[in-house]
Amino acid sequence: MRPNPRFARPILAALTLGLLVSVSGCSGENPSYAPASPPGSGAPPATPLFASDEEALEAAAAAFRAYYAVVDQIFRESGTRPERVLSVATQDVLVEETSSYETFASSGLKGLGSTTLDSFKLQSYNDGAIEPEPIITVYVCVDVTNVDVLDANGISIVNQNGRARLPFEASFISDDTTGNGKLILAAKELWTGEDFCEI
Amino acid sequence: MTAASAVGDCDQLSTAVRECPAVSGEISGGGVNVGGSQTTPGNGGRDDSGGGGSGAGEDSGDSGTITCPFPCRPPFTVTDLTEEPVTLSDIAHFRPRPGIAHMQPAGWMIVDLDTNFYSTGGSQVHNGTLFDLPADVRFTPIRWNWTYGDGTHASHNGGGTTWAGNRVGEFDRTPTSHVYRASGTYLIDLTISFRAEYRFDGQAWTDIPGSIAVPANRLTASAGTAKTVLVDRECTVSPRGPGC
Repeated sequence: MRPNPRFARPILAALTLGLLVSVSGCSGENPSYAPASPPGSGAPPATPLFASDEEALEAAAAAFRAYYAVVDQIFRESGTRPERVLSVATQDVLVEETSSYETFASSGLKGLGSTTLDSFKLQSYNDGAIEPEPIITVYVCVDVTNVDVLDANGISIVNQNGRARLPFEASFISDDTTGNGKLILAAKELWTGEDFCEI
Repeated sequence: MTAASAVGDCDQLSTAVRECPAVSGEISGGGVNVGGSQTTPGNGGRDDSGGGGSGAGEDSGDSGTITCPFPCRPPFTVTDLTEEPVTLSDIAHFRPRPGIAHMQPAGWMIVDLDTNFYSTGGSQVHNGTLFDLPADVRFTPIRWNWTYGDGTHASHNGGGTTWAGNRVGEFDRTPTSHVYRASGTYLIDLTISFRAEYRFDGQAWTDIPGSIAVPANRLTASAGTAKTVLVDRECTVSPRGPGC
């Protein structure tokens, strides 16, 4: 049966909706229009975060350098305001490094110089990753050759026989707060496989 | 990557003062040949000569043999070692979660007006093991096959969304709506096809050919005519009602 002409068409009253839902044995659906969970579209991201693997690698490199720039600065300031690292890393990273910063503060340590990074190599890249999966994971050499750490008496506590270049595996996720695809460090771990930083 | 543990870890301070644990260039217990000892597909026939324990991750070149310390972690892709692609039967123990079918209105429809059907639930990543190695499998929905219980069916390339999500009014047409032409009770079934990808620890995703069809929940609903289900109220009074 076709509905009546336009202005005489009956419309739905909320009361009737509720009544008929109960009468007809509804499927238990919530009558509100807001979806209970995001609708599944199944489509991949409309625009990829990066145009290529190379671009993704470069973004990761920039993000890791940004991270170390903040860390080096916190060290120069004897571990004050470590929460600054949240602009370049996740909460998990901050938590993991809390003892470093606390030791700096409590022992009056002072950092000098800057960490450098090199030998970036892509391990995996997936911009469809579902958090907490990383978007990109890279291998990188962390070089502290130009870094020094002084104790409260101004004496260097760096182990001169120790390794100044270390292989790391670093993972990044997108920083949702800026919404522009900026990467932040999600995790880093000393690489225990082949040492690709040996010179 | 898990949170740092105490001793032997390499945090920022340890890195700066060069007190991080020595990076191992040696293999403990001798080189383990991936092809020989792991059940990676297609490697049964390989004769891995081994690297003699001289260094981690040595690529012996033309023969394609790669040795590495156990568990293997040098930067190479496990898929380089497979001769046959991973198939859907290999990941049969990873089961995609079914999507959830919804309809608007809920549980009933008006004959000759559009009933909106949509589903929720998207991509999923399942973590588990594949050939005894830690692996992830990702299922992405690609096809939504609806049977409406009135002898008709449709195949969509999206899950659809609510009236509000489509920015339309009640009973308006949506890309996933369907019109019933007769009163009665109908059983509506949705099956979602997923494509699958896998990846081993730290590798990129690799497609698995084919797709997996997973039935969702069945919907049951009754269709009535406009006259029997609606109150009389003119569109001049409430212009945004159905059919106005």
